Amino acid sequence: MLRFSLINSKKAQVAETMTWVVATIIIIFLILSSIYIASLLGENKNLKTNKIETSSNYNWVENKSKNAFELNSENRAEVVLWLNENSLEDLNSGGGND
Amino acid sequence: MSNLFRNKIGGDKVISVYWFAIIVIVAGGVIAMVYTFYSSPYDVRELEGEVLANKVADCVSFQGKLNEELFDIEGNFNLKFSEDFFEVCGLNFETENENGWEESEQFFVEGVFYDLDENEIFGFSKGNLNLKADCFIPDKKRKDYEKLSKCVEKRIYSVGISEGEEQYLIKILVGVDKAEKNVKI
Repeated sequence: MLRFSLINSKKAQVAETMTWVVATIIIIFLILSSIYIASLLGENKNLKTNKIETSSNYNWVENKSKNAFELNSENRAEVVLWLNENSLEDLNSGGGND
Repeated sequence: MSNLFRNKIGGDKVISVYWFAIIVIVAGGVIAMVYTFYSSPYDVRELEGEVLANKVADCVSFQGKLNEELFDIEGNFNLKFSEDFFEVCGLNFETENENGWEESEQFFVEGVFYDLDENEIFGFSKGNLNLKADCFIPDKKRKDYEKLSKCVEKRIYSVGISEGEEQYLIKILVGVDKAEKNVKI
């Protein structure tokens, strides 16, 4: 009876150890993944202006050039078209070669 | 029977050591995460470039008219504007005296004036023009792309100071280097 109970106890210990080994592997995997994600987020810490306002330059152009349009608004459509272009953005999107 | 009792105590001790090991691993992981995130500097060069470009735009054109300092006495564009740029615009390109920045300027500004047919009629520049080449490297996927200068382009429309109110299209290009403080090298 005593022998039988000892065998049972060993089985229980093996099961518990296996559980812990698997749990440790999962914990280490999660931690390594989190460290990797943290390093990726850390590399992309760029502070930029509010893109909603400046993506098309519309508001900025309107504010800066509004007075000039009040003084002379000839060829307005043509001018606004030029103002909304951006050589750097065109370059990065594979567009113009300004 | 006595053996069994000892076994149980041993098992508990092993579990305690295991718990301790797990706590150390998790704490080490959290420390590593915080360190990797905060050891990378914030890249503020684009923001810095935007601010500088806005300042230059305000200097070049005010209330829709070009700055009078852009013209000489005869009403032609002042070819010495580049030399007087800092004084006229109230700007300077001074930086901290570290990372060898005192030897090479970390900013550049270029302003180009076009007529409505997009013919270049005047231009000025100031600062380290070597940075300009970085603005036109299109491959963002390059491994060292972040180490290149950050560039900002602004376009404004303004009229001249004479009665005819000629129309001018102005393109302002600003470059900021300072990679040492903005990118993890």
